[in-house]
Amino acid sequence: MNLNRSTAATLRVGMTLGVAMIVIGLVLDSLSMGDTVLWAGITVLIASPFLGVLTSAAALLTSGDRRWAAVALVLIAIISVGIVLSA
Amino acid sequence: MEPLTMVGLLVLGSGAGIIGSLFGLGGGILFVPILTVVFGLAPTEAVAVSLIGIIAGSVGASTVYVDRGQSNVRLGLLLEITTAAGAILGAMVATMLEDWILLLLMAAIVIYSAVRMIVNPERIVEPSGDADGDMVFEYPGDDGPVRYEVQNVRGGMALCTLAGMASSMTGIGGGAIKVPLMNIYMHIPIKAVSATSSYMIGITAFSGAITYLLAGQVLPDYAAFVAIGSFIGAFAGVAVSRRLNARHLRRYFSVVLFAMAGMVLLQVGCVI
Repeated sequence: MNLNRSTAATLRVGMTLGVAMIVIGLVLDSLSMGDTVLWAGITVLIASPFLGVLTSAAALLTSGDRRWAAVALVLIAIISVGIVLSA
Repeated sequence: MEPLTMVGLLVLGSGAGIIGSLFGLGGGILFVPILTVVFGLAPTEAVAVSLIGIIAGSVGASTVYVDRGQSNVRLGLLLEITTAAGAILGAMVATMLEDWILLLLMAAIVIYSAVRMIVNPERIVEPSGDADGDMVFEYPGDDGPVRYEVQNVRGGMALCTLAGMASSMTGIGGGAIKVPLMNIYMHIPIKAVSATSSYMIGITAFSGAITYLLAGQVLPDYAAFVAIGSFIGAFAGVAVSRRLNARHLRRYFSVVLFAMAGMVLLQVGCVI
């Protein structure tokens, strides 16, 4: 698993899905058909950078790059702690 | 929502996307005041919308920068650790200091960084021979791959803690401190720095945005238009970045930093 390519691929999926859902959501919302899709799109978009970090961690782990995989895992732990503390 | 408001939000988002992809700056200091003053959002709503715009720009630019290897993902993850830790610390101690002291301190740091970016030419440390240390990286430059060895890694990590603290205490300064830090102190080429910072600001903004999302402080329609604008701006910024050489990129970066410092000082005036 190539680190740069897999991370970018995850971000691309997040971006494409997020934009598509946001645009469809805006249309549905303007037709008074609810804002569920819009919220889902925004949630996908917000989650994308974190999903990118998870992908990086997986790519580093599978390629046996232990030191940098550890760096990614520590970051995931700290971000999680930050969210729990501020929620 | 009024059509004019939609257009305004798209334009605002584009601006955020350009600054994020070109310089690696979140630009919250420029966009939050516009969202409150021009669009009439409450401060927390404005911050939430701004964070989502930063994420959209970061994700959009990173699909290109990360794929190309211009963003240094490993280094980004490493520096993000201390940045995130600093942000947690900053949130804890923020209430202990007066706002205007913090803002004045930020303005001073940002102006200092801007001056250093003008005065100090870029100095990259080329790895000796085929040295292959932990901190030797390369990115695709205009004339083929550029190899660089990152310097002062520990000091850089420590200073990122301060950048993280500053950004969570004042809502500004993540990128404005980290980009000059990486370029001048850690000797990373500006093109790699701005791309790496573009990638990092999305991760930093994620932590903040998810909290606002869970607290129900996100205005979905405002966020949607800013995000769409920000995607457009991000790709425009990536295209412009290809045509700018390092020297010009650093100079324009300083101009943006001075504008940011001006906005911070204006805010100090409002607080006092």
